[in-house]
Amino acid sequence: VSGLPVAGWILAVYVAILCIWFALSALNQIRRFSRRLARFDRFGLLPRWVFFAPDPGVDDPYLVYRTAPPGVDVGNAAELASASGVSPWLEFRHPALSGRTLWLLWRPTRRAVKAVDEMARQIVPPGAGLSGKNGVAKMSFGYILFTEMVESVTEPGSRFQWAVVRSHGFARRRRLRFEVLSDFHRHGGHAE
Amino acid sequence: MTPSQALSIACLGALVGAVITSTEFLWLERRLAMSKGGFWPEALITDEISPSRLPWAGAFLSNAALRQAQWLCIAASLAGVACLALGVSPVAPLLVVAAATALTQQRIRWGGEGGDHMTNLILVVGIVGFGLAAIPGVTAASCAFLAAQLTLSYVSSGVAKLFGSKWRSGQAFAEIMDSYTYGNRVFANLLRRRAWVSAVAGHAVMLFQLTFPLYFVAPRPYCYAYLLAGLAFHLSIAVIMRLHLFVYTFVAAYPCLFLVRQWFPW
Repeated sequence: VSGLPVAGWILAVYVAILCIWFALSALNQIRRFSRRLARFDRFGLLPRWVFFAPDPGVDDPYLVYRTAPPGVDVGNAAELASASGVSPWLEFRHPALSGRTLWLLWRPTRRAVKAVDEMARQIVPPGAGLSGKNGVAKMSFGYILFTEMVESVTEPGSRFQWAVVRSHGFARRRRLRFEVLSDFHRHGGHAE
Repeated sequence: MTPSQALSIACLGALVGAVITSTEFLWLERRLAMSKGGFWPEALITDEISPSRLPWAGAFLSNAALRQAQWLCIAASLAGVACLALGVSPVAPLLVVAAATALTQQRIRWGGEGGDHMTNLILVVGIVGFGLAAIPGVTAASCAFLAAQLTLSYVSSGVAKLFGSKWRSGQAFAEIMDSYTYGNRVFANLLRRRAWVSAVAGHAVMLFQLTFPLYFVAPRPYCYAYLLAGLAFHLSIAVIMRLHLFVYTFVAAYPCLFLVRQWFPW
């Protein structure tokens, strides 16, 4: 093959493709372009190398939820705070979130944590603050995913609300920041 | 070092990384992460994709298909490692690994990381590089592309850090260490007491990343200090932050950097 004239052409075409690929990869580092390019990059061939930059963004994300019994007016914040039977905020625990770490070889739990982080950012862009009812993208994939996750651990017939909270640091007492707050949902039903 | 050797080592790293990643996904699947109420539920993903554009995709995105893809990926990766060790063309195993990886990434569309991207790049240029190895220059072009992507990754990350106030002020490293997800309690305590260590470490990372193109300009053997620094950088990230995939994918592509540097006379 190497002796044929076509070999030179194949090499030229390959180098041209690699140059275009590299140019697109470089463009993908710019957020403005990466949003557009993401639509075409179905196979993850355009990397975005930012690695904890510009904002390190290393707050630990947690999915929490609370449940309310039938009869409590979940639209009334005062009643919700005082009514009996409303659970405190509980951490959503999943078997995929707890597992051993073997340095240099094994830590699958990081992907589950990253999934929560990415989905939360999909629902509410960073810096948007607690968006309450209006800013949350309720038809987004992340919103539906979190609703299903929490629904799977609540009792049939109960009503539940979930939130993504973030904390920072190893300190035993640390501040929690609400990032996303869902509506109340009925188990097996719709938002209320 | 020849282009074939450099590309072989890069592919070896990607294949080892693919084995680890597939094993992780099998573990996550056993831990119900792919079931209803999990992080990548089958029904939610197939419902979203299948009816609208790809009606046949549901079968490929099921948990059963995902599981089979992981086993296939592990088997093909091991076959690829054997091919590389025996000096046989690894194109067929690389193709299988690339297909299984592509299917997995359609299914696991969030929770990915930079190491996954580098795996994709190595697999694609590895397939072409070895598949068209008879054509002079193709394998070398594959290596040059990987070297260029590595350089882009460092420079791009360094430039992005310049735009971050916490990186500029030196706080970022301490903040990263002080988190459950990527941090390290021992280092977090150390950095809380000695803030200057965070500033020095953070700025050293930025300096390394921003000046990485000097690797191609600095005279030998001083230029290799960049490779040693990069090796230390990725090993530190793997040990301290428990992000190990970067070692297998990024460091394994370093021979491509070494090869490309040989092309310069100085």
